[in-house]
This record gives sequence, structure tokens and C-alpha cells, in this order.
Amino acid sequence: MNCLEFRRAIGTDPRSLDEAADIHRSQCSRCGDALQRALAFERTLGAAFAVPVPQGLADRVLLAQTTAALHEPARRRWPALALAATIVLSVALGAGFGWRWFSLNAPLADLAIAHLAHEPFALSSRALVAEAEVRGQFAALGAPLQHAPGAVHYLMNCPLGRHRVVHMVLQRESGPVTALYVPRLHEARREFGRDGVRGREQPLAGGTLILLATSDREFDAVAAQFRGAFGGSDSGALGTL
Amino acid sequence: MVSKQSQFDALVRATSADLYRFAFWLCGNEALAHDLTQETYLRAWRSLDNLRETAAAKAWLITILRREHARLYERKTPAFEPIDAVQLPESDLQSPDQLGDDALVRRAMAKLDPKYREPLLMQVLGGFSCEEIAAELNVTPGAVMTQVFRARQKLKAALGGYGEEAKVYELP
Repeated sequence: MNCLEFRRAIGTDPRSLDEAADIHRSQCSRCGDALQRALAFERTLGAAFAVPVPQGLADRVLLAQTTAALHEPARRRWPALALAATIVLSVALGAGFGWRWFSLNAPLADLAIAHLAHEPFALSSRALVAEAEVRGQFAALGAPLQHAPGAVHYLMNCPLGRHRVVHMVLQRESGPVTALYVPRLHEARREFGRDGVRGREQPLAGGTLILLATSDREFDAVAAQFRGAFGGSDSGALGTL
Repeated sequence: MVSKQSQFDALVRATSADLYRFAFWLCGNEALAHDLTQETYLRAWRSLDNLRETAAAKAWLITILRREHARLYERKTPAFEPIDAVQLPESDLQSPDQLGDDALVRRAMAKLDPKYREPLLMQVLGGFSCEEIAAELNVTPGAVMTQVFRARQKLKAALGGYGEEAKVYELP
């Protein structure tokens, strides 16, 4: 490094000289003196830049920051979101537990009416279900039929509370009739109605037949069809029709 | 374990004076410098997790402050005064023969073109290297070296006693 390069270096940043500049300074007294003057100027520069700082600046900055932190939207949102999530979860859990309790403890008639709302499309189904399918569903639940209980337009194996049932819809002149057959459950015959739905429970073939419709006009006829389908195998039950 | 708040307290107490001074020399107005400093720390608080090295704290804050300063230009017509109208301490407004070196340098600094003033501020107050300044200002390190060299020359020239030295420093 020569003198000109050294002067350039101290004019650029006299506080950060590299090793070559250091060596030159130790070998050149004029440049060593120039460095001392440059460093003195840096001190002047530093002092000149040090304009007075407002009193209590740091405290005011911290006050503004802590105040802002207390009202930060992002932080406020989290408790709100957490609360909302808790409420949703609670409702969901509550609904879940409530539904489970209802499923296990509600009367069969109530479960049956509630089940209508789960499969509303079933009532408008008009495609005829093959007899073999109907018999197959009953056989799967241990309640074999001798033949189909008339024209069945919807067929499904469904849960009903703690039971598995055969869910059917039979389109009749007065409208659709929903028939739920609960195997291995003996309920006494009774009529019921709620929310515009008429219903009947009656024992049949070691299980219970539940009929639901807007009118009970077809119940006797439908029940007779089911009794015939079972072939009169449960005379006791048949006797209650 | 140190909390985020105590880390921030320490950061403010260690750097707020330099940051305010940097803001002052950037905008030339005490009230605006105060507001810029406040806003810078509020932003710093929100992104404190990004600060990994203590040694880089001041440079990190200055980067935030420069962005805040630039945003002022984007938001509205800035209330910045021309360079000549930088608010200097009252003691600096005396006649030249009554002024000391500090006041003369401040006066010269206030008149310095921002393209010279800002890199010099970053170097002297911020502790940035020429390479860091270049990255921050999006120019080459060579351009920064020229700017800080000429900034010193102009300031030295403003102080009569340094005039001859300035000639020696002149780059080809």
C-alpha cells in the first residue's frame, strides 16, 4: 500500500483499516500523523452527530409499546377465537353427547320420528326395490321373510338408537308410509303422533314394526302385508294387529 | 429465561438515543424524529422474533427506521424541511466565530446532500460497514466508499482547519 491508497482508506473509514494499511502506517510517519488527525476528526464528527436526545425518550417508547401490546388486535383476536372455538367445541360435544344420550335412552317412537329427518329423500323415492334385496336385508338381521311385504320403494339398513333396523318406504295411495322393522325387540302396540307425523309401534315376528306417515289410514293394510310376509310365524304378535 | 418484554426493554435503553439521532439527521426535525423512533420501536416489537444477534440490533433498527421514513414519503407529502432548514440546536445558530467545531460540523451536516449524509450517518452512527451500507442503499460498495469519502471531505472543508487535509484525501 502506498501513501495515496492509505489516505483514501482513512478518508473512507479510518476506524476500520486492514492489515496492509496498518503496516503502511507503521512504516510512514506522515501517514501515521494523518491517521491521528483523521481519528480526531471522527471524534468531532461523532460529537457533532450527538444531538440532544429528548428526555425520557426510552421511557416514552416503552410506554407506547406496552400500551400498544395491551391492545394489539392480533392478541385480542386470539382469546376471542379461542372462546369461539371453545363454544363451538362445547356445542359440538354437547350436541354429540346429547345425541348419544338421546339415542340410547329415548323412546323408540321418538327415535323413529327423528330418523325421518336424517333421510328425508327416502320419502320421495319411487324406484321399486327388488324383492330379493328386501328379503336379504331382513335375513341379515335374523328376521327372514317368506316374501316381500308388497311394493317397497326405499330400503336401507339403519341404526336406530342401539338397534339396527330395516328402513323401508312404501308408496301408497295416501302417500308414503315409512316402515321400520326392529328385530328382537318386543314393544307393546301403541299409536303416537308428533310434528304432523302419525305413528304406530306393534310387535311382529319377534321384533317391532314401526309405521310412520302423515296419516294412519294405511297402517292396518301395511301391517297386514308385513304380517303376511313373515308368514304368520309370530301368532302372538299377529294377534295384536 | 429472559422474557420478550425484558429483551425489548434492554434493546430500547441501549439503542434509543442513537436511533433518535439517526432519525433526526435523516429527517432534520425533532418532533418527526421522535415519532419515527416511536414507530420504529413499535414495529421492532412486533417482529422482535426476527432479531437473532444482539450485535446486529442497531443495524436492524436502523433498517426499520429507514423504511418507516420512506413510508412517510409514500403516505403523504412529507413535512420535511429542505436540507438548509434542518432544526439545529439554538446554540448552533450563532455567528461562525462564536461556534465550536461540533456546531460547525452540525451546520455543515445539515447542508450536506442526502446522498452523502445518509451513508455517512449509517457508518458513523449505525456502525455499518461499506458493504452493509451498499446492500441497504442498493448501490455498489465502491459508490458507498466514494460517498462517505466525499462526505468527510465536505465536512472537513466546512471546518477551515481541515481544508488542506481534504485536498490530500481527494480521490483521482
